[in-house]
Order: sequence, then C-alpha cells, then structure tokens
Amino acid sequence: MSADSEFLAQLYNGLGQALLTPPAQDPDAEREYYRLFLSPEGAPCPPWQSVYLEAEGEKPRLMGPPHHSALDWYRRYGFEPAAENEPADHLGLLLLFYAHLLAAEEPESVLASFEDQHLAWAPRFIEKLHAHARHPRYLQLAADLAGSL
Amino acid sequence: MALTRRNLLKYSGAAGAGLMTAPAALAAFDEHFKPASGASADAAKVVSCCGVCSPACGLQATVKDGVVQFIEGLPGDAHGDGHLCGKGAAGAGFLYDPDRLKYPMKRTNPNKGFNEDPGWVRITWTEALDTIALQMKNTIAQSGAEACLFVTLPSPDLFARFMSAMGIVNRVDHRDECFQSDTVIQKYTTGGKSWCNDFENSKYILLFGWDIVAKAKLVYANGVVKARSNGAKVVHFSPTYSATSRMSNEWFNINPGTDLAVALAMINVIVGESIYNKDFVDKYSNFTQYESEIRAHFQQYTPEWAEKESGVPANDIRRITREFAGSGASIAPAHKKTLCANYMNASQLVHAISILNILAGTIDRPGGRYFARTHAIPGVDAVYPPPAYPAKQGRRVDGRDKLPFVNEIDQGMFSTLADGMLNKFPGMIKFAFWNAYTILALPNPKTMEEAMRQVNFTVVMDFIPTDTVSMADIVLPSAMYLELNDAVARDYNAKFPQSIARTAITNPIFETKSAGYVAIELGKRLCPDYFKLSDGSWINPNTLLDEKVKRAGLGTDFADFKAKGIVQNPAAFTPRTTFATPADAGGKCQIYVPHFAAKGAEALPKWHTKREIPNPDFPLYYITFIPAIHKRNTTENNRILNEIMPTNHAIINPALASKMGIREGQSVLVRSRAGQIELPAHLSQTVRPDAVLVAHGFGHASRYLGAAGGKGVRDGDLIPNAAIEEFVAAGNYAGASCIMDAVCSIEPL
Ligand code: SF4
Repeated sequence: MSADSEFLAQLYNGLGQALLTPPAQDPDAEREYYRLFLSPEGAPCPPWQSVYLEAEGEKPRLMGPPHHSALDWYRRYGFEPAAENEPADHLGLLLLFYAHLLAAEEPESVLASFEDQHLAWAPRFIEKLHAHARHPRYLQLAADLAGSL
Repeated sequence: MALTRRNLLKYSGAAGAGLMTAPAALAAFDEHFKPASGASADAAKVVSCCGVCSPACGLQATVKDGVVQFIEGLPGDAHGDGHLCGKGAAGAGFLYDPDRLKYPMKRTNPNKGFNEDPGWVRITWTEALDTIALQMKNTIAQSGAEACLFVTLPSPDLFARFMSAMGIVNRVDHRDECFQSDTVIQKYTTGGKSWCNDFENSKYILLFGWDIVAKAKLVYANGVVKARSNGAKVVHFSPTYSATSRMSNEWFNINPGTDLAVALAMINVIVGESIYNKDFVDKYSNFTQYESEIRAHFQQYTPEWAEKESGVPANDIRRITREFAGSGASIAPAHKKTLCANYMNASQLVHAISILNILAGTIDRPGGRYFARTHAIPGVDAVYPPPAYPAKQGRRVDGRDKLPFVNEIDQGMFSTLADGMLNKFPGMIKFAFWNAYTILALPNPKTMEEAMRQVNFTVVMDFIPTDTVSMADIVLPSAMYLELNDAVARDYNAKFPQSIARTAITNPIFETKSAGYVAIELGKRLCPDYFKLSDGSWINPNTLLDEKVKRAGLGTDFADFKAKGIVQNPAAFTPRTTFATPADAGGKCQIYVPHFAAKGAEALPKWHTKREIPNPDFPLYYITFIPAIHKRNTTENNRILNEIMPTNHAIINPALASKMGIREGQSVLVRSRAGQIELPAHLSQTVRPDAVLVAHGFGHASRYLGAAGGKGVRDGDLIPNAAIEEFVAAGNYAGASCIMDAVCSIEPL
C-alpha cells in the first residue's frame, strides 16, 4: 500500500470509528455521544444516510435506498455489517468501508462512485453535528469531518 | 472529494496536524464488518396483518433484503376489504422512524425535569433487566406491591402473567377514555362488549357523535358505505360536521353532551307507542318483567323536553324514532373516545343506547350488533397453568375500587390517576413501568408530569421517544407489530371465525424486543415459578405460540399457520337465543338492570347533565377529537402521517371569529379552568359558533423528535383534573372519563 493510501485509509478509518464507538473512558464525552446520536428523547444528529434524503424528495427514514445500496457495495467486496438488523448506511460504517477501498487502492472511478453515492450527503450531517455538539471532542470531530469530506 | 483527498495528503506524515483521529489500525473494520453471508435478494411479498389498531386488517408487505418497502391491503380479506386505512398503510413510517428507540438506555443524571440533560448512556439488556428487577424487588419489600404502578394494557398475556404473579394491584390503562363505559353496560344489558356491527345488513344506522366514517376502523367505514349503497338510512347527531355527517342522510347539530336527552326521548316514544320489536323484546329481554317500572320511568323524557336540552326538534326525534323502530334492522352503535362516550353522563347514555338496540330487537340479529364468532386461541395461562396467583393487596391509587362495575372488568382509570398520586396517596407510588403509553394520553398531562416527579424509579418501554421518557430512569426499546409473530382471532367482522397469522415481516430493528420477552426475563428474576415449566425449562415464546396455534386448530404449529395466512371456518350465522348476561338474568338481555341498582347505580338511565356547561367565564364548549389519520398520541411522528397533518389548530366557526376579531391563522389563547393553550386559529363552518375544536395528539415536548417535536399544543392542558369522588357523585358508575367534557374561552393574540 502506498504511503498516501495508507494515510488516507487510516484517516477515514479513524473518523468512522469515532462515529461508531462511544468513548467509554471519558464519561462526559460518552454521554455527549449518546445525546447527539442515540438519545431516547430524539437525537439531534442521526448518523444514517437514509435520514437525509429530503432534498431527493424522500422522507427521513431508516433503511431507505441508501441502506440497500451500501449493503450492495459491502457485499460486492465480500462483507456485511457485523451488527445484524441495523442500517448499513451509518456514516461510520460508510467511512470504514471507504477506508477499506482506499487501502485496497481501488481505482479513482470506484472511489468517486462510492463518494458520490454515499459520502456526498455527509455535509448535511456535519452541519447538524457542528450546530448541536457541546463537548470539544465532537466539535473537533465535526471540524475533522468537514475538513476531510 | 478527490480534491479533498489530495488536499489532505498535504498532511500526510505530519501526525496530529489538527486531526484528532490519530491513525488507528484498520482493525476497526474487522470489528464492524464480517464476511458476507448472502447476496442481495429480490423483493418478495409477505402476508401479515396490521397492528396499528385492533381489527388487524390483512396486509401484504413487499420486502427486499429483510426491509419493508411497501405495505398494502390483502385482497379478499374481510377485515379491510382488501385495503388499509391511512394509519395502516403508513406502517413503514413507524417501522423506520429515525427516532425509534434502539437500545436499552439508562439515565446517569439523577435530576429529572425537562430542563435537565438526563445523560443517557446505552446499557445491555441484562443490565437493564437486572436493574429493573432489583428496583421492583426492593420497592415491594419496603413498601408493598401497591407501590408499583404499571401503566399498560394487560397484554401480551405473558406480561399480564408477570403482573399477576407479582400481585400488582395498580395497573392502569386508557380504556376509561375509550370504550370502558360500553364494556360495563354491555356486560349487564346484552351479555358482553362486542366490536361487531352488521352495518351492511342494517336498514337504519343511528350514530351519536361517532365519526365512524373517518375516525374509526376501516371495517366500519366500509360497512357504512355498503349500508348506504344498500339503501340504508344514516342519521348522525354531532356538534361537529364530520365526514360521517357528510355521509349521513340527516345530520343534527346537537348541543354537546346532550345525546342522552335524545336517546331517553327515543325510548320514551318507542315504549309509549309500543313500537318495539315485540317478538325479540318479549322473548329475549326482561321488558315484561319490569314493564311498569320501565314505562313509568321513561314517561318524563318527552321529545319536547329533549328538544330543550339538545336543540333537536321534538318532531324530528319522534319521526326518527318511528323510522328506527320500524325499519326491521336498526342499529345504534356506541363507541369510543369520540364525543358520546366521553361526557360525565356517558354511563347513562351508553345504557340508553343499549336499550334502543334491544328495543329494535337486533342484538345478535342481521343488521344489528352481534357477537363475534371466533377461534378460541388460548392464552398462556390455559396452555401452561400457573401456580395460584397471590391475592392483589393494597390500595388502588386511582380510587377505582369506588366504582365497583369498573373494578370488576379491570380497566381504566387514566382520568383519576394523577389525583390519586398527588392528593389521595402522595408518595405511595415509588416504581412505575410505562409500556406503550405516554403522559400525553392522560386527560391533564401537566398534572401527570407533576405526579410522575414523585416516583423514585421509572421504566419506559416504547417504540418511539415519548414525553414520558424525560422522566425515565431506564428506557427499553420495543419491537413493533411488523417485527413480531402472533395468532390473531379477529373480532370486528366475525360472523364466522377468521384468524390471521401476524408474521414478523422483518427482524426487530436494532436491539428492540417484545413486552413478552421482558415479562419472561423479569419473571425469571422475580417470580421464577410462574415462568418455569414442569420439566424445569423456561417458557419459550415460540413454543408457546406453536401450542396456541395447535390448540386453536389453526395449524400444526405457527409455521404451518403462517403458510396458510388466514384460517376461516365459514358457517351459517345462527342468532343467539340466550345471552351471557349475569346468571340471574336467565339468559335474557336486560333493559332494567337490577344489578346496577343493587350497587348504588341506576337500574334505568336517568338524565344527567354533562360535567361542564358554558358560563360567563368560559362561554364556549371545548371539543377535542382524534384526526382520522392519527391514532391517539402515537402516530404524529410518523413522517407519512405527519405530512398529512403536522399540527393542530383552534378550529372555530367564522361567526365566532368575526365576533372575537380573529383572523384565519392568527394566534389565539384558549383558556379553561384547567389551563391555557396558544395556537393558530382555523376558521371552519364544520364547528358550531359556540364551540372550539382542537385535535388531540400534538404538543410532544421531546424537542428532537424529528417530525412531531415541538409542533402543536396539548389539547389535554385544558381538561380539568378529575377525582374519583366526583365520578361517584355524578353517577358516572361506568367511569367514563371526561376528555370531551370541558368549556373554554378564546381571545385573539
Ligand atoms: S383500521 Fe387501519 S389501523 Fe386499524 S387495523 Fe385496519 S388498517 Fe390497521
């Protein structure tokens, strides 16, 4: 793997992981993670692509067309999300998979197609994250995502 | 993106260049992905039934890769006639609501209140169940079972078993706001509550308030449409001009809460002119036994008297009564939250309506109200008989024991719960478990909020965030009807048995689970003897379902039943000749109910006024309603339904608007003695100039609830609290809540 590819793969991998894993070692940040993404009172920053399709005329939902499309991508490369019965279009999963494509040094056309189908929506999520995050860790994550996508 | 990537490479090698994400091993990928087990599948159709409301209309879902794409009616199915109503068709909107509760969560900030951040963190199911079991155990040890409040229906049967095994005395549900009055009355007058109305064979349909065409079950709307096509006459008494009014031959703009006067006058005319169905009434009712009492009692309720109360002309009451009595197949259904069942005088009204049906002679007869012919699907207690349950000990927090007829049917009482918790037994409830209900469902949610603040430990189990969650210590995510298996013996259009397999069209999303699962798991921890089988193994819900299916004759096991979809046993309809009224009624329907009199209620319905009458401070009637496309307070966040009706208004007549100087869309303040709400006005001829109409179900406080959060106002904030003594004093022995029974004022802002 080239140094460039490795750098990028690790970068997106890290961002994906930050979105998928609550920081258990830091209770304040952990609570912030749940408040932003999974609050049982309604979460301000849902991290699933299917929730962001209003511009395409779809209502926010889980398990919409992007879920199926993401699953198709994963399966074409021989994978599936480990968590069963959960949407495949979680931004964290999409970023981990993107990192995988980068690490595998997939051609530009493949990367561009994945970006187009599954990362182009991310700014709408990042905007929300930026607006709602209170803990420095997630303000930083919003900035990092904005700088990387 | 390619540009971003190239830009990013500038940082390559410059570790920590502002990016918090220190290069992590790609191991994260292996943690979150696994090898693919299959390829993407084509879409297929799966048969099941709706579970948004109770008729369980047949449905078919198009499912791709385990994900529901589309839901539609099941052709040929009698309950939906091949269709689904708006709520049923929007099923995927519930299933894939982005706000669905996903994992068990616990609060880490002990301070509760809308301004506190609860500090939710995810926990495992095991931790959640262990914590709940420990809290319940300690509460019962220290304060007795009466300190535990369960806000839930007694279903599923496994959950009911758990509550019985724990000796829970304080279980409350919403049925006092719904059909409880009818359940009490039918038990004594005709032998049991029934959901079956044979509209398609009716010749005359008399509706008190009920907006049956819009706000009801599809099966009823279809029935009324068929009745009209067959030439039946529909008469509607309602203070609002609803879809049903439009479909009626005659609509009477009755004074709110005076339906009872019209019903009493109709009985006066039928009895006075002896135009009842003599054959049925003599043979199958106790009319002859109590004839002199009945004749004497109803004499006072002349149509002229009723006109003064109700505004319905005496001549029309007479004419309609004669038409009703003479049609040969007349029906007067009583129903739920809509209007007539929800005034303080609803116990008497529902009794009077039942008498009208008996006098028409159509109980369990063509064109009338009949009893469901269903498969007998056994409950868990029949399949696995439990050890004797402990006696329920302790005080009823809602005071329901003061209403013996309600107590014996074990329903209610949302309307008096807050008063009991705050005033009668303050501090008694220490543990609360809310399952599929929200404080929005209580007549006065504000007071309920206050009452809930006194509770030490609260569990909320639901499928979407509700306002009650903000008071919870632990939140449990529920699976919903499209994710669960069950066998449903349908009882709305049931001249012969027709059961349907409710099939899990898709796996429960995230970590959602059923209330049955929770019951078994809490049972293992707290009352194992009730959840253990004779061979020492735990009850398994799948084996239990197989056994139910087998014993009901629906199939060899659930898989077999599921393959059939619907099991029907067509048979000729044989009208009942004995009725399941109390044993000493001799199998007859009861017009005069001595049992009521024996316990301080009325053997024959008397006139009572509604609870609140317009007065100088609050000169207008306050009428609430549930919109056709919503179910109570649980569907407003469904994106599909929310688009159709996202919020509520103060709906007023243009005449009232011009008198008060209110324009369309203008903000108004609506006040009652209970509180005030601020919302936009909507002008409509469909409401009387002396009333304000507000839709129920809005005003969800959860701010981040994607669609419904912060939209509209709570209609309940204007409903005055009720105490059980008031119900007793008013003769409301069937415990009808008063959620339609308020008065208000309105002013522009
Ligand atoms: S009437 Fe509507 S909500 Fe009720 S079961 Fe039928 S389709 Fe479902």
